Amino acid sequence: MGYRRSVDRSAELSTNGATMIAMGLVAWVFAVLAAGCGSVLLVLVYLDHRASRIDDSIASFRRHIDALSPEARHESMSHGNSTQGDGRYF
Amino acid sequence: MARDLAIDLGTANTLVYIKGRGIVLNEPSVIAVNRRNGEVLATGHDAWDMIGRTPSYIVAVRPLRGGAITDFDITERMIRQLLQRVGVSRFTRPKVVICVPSAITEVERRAVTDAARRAGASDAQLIEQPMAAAIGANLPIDEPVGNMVIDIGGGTTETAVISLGGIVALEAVRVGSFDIDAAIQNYVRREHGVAIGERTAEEIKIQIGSADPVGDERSADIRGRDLVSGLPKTIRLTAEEVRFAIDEPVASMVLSVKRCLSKAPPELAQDFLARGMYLVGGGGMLRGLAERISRETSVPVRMSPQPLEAVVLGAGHCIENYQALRGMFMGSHR
Ligand SMILES: Nc1ncnc2c1ncn2[C@@H]1O[C@H](COP(=O)(O)OP(=O)(O)OP(=O)(O)O)[C@@H](O)[C@H]1O
Ligand SMILES: [Mg+2]
Repeated sequence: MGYRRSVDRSAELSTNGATMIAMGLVAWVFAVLAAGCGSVLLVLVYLDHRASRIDDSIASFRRHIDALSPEARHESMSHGNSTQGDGRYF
Repeated sequence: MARDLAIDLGTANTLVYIKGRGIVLNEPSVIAVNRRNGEVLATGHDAWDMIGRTPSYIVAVRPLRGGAITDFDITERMIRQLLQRVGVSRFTRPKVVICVPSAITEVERRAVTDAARRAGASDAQLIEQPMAAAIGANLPIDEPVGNMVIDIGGGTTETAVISLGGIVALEAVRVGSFDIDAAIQNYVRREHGVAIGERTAEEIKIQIGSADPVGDERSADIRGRDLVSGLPKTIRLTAEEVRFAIDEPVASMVLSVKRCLSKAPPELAQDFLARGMYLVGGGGMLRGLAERISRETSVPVRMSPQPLEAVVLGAGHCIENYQALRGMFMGSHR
């Protein structure tokens, strides 16, 4: 009786071991897949960010140059006529 | 609501531009202080009337003379006074753009921005005078062509080449129209034995001064104090004498323009020949100066229609378009 029990136990142990190894393997595969997906995602995000940064700098340079166009300046320059005094000393 | 503003803190004149309203203040950069207790007694026109006429306990000075901030404490008080007068308080907290000479040191830069912040500004940015002048003189600086601007003020002569919204070449010297006044004072003292004040010297410069022979050469009767007898005396000065007397500072101004031309990339040289250089600043109004610069550089020179206001109008435009033109401010990298 004791013997049978011990045989039963070892069989139980070996199936348990196989399950654990299989589960470990699956976990590994998942981890590798996740890491792969993660890095692809990171690369995509980085590339997108870089593109948008270039877009941003182009847009801000455009805004800068546009704000210096004669049409954009017209309004501010017209304020010059309201000067009080002539800036000279007498 | 905070009304953002731009200030041209010139060595001779201070101008203030308020966003949406234009130029609201234009007066001499002079402050009169009580020597005994340090109290400010007057600023602007009132203080200017006191120059050379104060009792010993009052001092009326131009704190920015020579293009350098010679007295930080007084400069700070002047900025604070100025901001108070145009309605800035702790509650309004506007943004402020201040035009300064491009040769300003790091210490001076910090002194000006700190003074503006302490006086109530939420943000204080600096812009180089020639950059502001080019914007205000309506030069096509948004195009990839060489625009040359010469700003001759009371204490500084600054020449810059600007293309595509940025400075390509820059040359600044601390020689300005005040040095011409001083040269006239020295000449009259040396050659005629008569002492004259700086205001009289300035009048002589504006009435009969010239950098190159001009059509009508006039003479003027000048009143001063005889150095020997100590009594009032009148002398007669000719335009030719004055031209001779001021040749040294005038030559330094012209040399500085030449140096800037030689710093500019050769590609832009043909733009200068085709478009000419623009002259702004009160010092540029000296008779014959545009002609002399043009003669010595072989480049045509044009006088801006608003020589005294171009700088503050340019800075005013930056305050109207604060976000888009942030790259123009000193310390930002464009
Ligand atoms: N008609 C004129 N002829 C000669 N000089 C003049 C004339 N009108 C004004 N000035 C001189 O111009 C100077 C003031 O010019 P401006 O207001 O441009 O100087 P600023 O901007 O205060 O000085 P800076 O730019 O050096 O800080 C004064 O020295 C004044 O004597
Ligand atoms: Mg100036």
